[in-house]
Amino acid sequence: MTNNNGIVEILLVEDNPTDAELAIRSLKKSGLANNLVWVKDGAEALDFLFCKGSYAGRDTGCIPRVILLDLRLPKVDGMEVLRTIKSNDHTKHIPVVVLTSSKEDRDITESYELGVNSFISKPVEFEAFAKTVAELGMYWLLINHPPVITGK
Amino acid sequence: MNKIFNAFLLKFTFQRQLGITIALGILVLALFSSVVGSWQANQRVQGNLLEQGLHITESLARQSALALIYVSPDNAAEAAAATLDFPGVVGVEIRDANRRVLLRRGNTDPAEFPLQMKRADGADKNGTTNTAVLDAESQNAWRFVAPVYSQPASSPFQEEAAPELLGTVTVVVSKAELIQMTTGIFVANLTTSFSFALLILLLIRFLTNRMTQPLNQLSSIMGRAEAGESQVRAVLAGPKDIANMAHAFNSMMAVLEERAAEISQLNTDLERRVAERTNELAAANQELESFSYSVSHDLRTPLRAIDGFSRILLEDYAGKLDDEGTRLLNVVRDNTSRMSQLIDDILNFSRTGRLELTFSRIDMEKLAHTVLAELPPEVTGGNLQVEIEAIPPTKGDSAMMHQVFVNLLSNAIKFSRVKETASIKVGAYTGGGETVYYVQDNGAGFDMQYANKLFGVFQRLHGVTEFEGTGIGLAIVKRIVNRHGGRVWAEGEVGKGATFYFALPTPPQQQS
Repeated sequence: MTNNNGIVEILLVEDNPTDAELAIRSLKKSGLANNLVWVKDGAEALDFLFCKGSYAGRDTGCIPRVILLDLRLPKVDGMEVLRTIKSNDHTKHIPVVVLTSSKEDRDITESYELGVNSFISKPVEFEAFAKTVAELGMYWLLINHPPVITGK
Repeated sequence: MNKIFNAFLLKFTFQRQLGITIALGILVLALFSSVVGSWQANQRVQGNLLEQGLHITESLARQSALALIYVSPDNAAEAAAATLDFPGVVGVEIRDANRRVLLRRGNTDPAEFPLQMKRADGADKNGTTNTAVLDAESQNAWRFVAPVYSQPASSPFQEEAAPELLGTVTVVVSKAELIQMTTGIFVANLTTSFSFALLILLLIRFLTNRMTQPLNQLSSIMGRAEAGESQVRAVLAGPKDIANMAHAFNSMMAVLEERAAEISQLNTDLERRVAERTNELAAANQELESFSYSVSHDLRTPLRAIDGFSRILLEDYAGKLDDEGTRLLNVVRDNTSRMSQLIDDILNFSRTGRLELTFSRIDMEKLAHTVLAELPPEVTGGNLQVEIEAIPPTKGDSAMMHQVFVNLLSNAIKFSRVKETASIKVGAYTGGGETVYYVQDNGAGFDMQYANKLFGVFQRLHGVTEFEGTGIGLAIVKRIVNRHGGRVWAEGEVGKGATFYFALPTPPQQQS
């Protein structure tokens, strides 16, 4: 899924292919999907970040600018992925945006307790959804300044 | 007097009351009977003594005739000595017709009887009686007097001559014997009565002991039972009525213990059942929560796909779709939007039932103003007049009460849009321990026969095209108000408007 230069800007963790397709389409329309990696469950997301399993050969120093994380995921669920990312020195600086259908208070509270950087509830209506995804891509990739990570 | 009697009845034990009463009674009776008895004896003995005194005096008078005729005291000495030998006789005196003393023995001197002598009945002043009379009486003695006449000749040849008064004899009889006897009888009577009274008192003491001791035992046992001791039983002893009482007490205790055991059993059962139900409820609640969580996550995703791909179809294949195709796709998208709204509403409704209430004082008037100001312009736009009266505060969950006003005010505004000027009023009144708040509008109103349907989930009285909404707003209002211990109702008339009421218990410090 990575492009040739190995740079990853967005890691999209989404098990639902239609949601993923709608998100990628929206980002593409804003020209933000060039360096996007899409993984379909929590385990794959962790493999990618820590260069294990099918991503064993990947350069660990190459980390995404932002992670878009769904909460309801097969194998390892979104909260667990978030906890692992934020409790690891290597990955805790990566901005994580929870992008989920849920508006449940407990999801929001727990996410922030684990150190999420933003919590976005996916609008059902497509126009609103497309606009939201495009805006958050724009914000995290173009407006926000990430810390300088010195990879090992 | 009454006070003393009451104190007597209250302060002393039954046993002492009975003892004192009977002792006093017997004492009075003993005194009375002794006095009466000795008086009667006194009367009888006195009568005898008087009669004896008269006889003695007459006898002396007869024997003194010769001595008087011959003026010879020696002649009478023997008779006087014989008279003095009679018990009680203390003095004898013989006088001649001229009242000169012929003979005196013993004590007949009036000076020896210093108390006033009195004339007894039957002795006239001239002393012209034929027989002895009780001449006078003092406290200690009687004085008898008898005239002495010459002996009439018993010869048949001689004419009967009138007897000649020769003199008088006087006999003094002491009352000492009478007094001694009377006193003796009185003392004996009194002694007997007192002994008898003492005996009866002892008997009463024994009987009352026999009665009060089991009573005291019973009362101490009752005291123990009252203090909470279990399995307390009275001993079936003492008189029959006390034993009956003890038996009744025992039966009562048995019944009470049985009841207590039943209640305790019921309580245990109840607690167990409450615990079971609580667990079941907790499980059901848990299930409901995970259900709504799933709904929240999973039902939206396919909706987004339907909406998203319809939109993509419209964007990417616009050239290949005719107007009808475009319209149909837009119908699909409208319905996904409506479905999404329904999901949001049902989740909201479910949340109002699950969230814990945090009670605080709420300024309802301020809250109504705040809610009105917060309503989006598309709701509050147009010709709108809202009047919020001075309404009392309440106690409740402020976020939930906020929701109540949001729903009621936006409803009122929504249904008043049919009028040129929407006129809405928020007011309240109190009574019967509750405060009734209401939101009144001059809008579309409703038919009262459907009033009971208004507060049902997804119940609507108007078509979607007429007024938007899913029909959850009033159901949420009802649920919130019910959770606050209140009630809701509505009044309305088609075309004239509607009033929605919610009554909440008036906070205690506000009740006058």
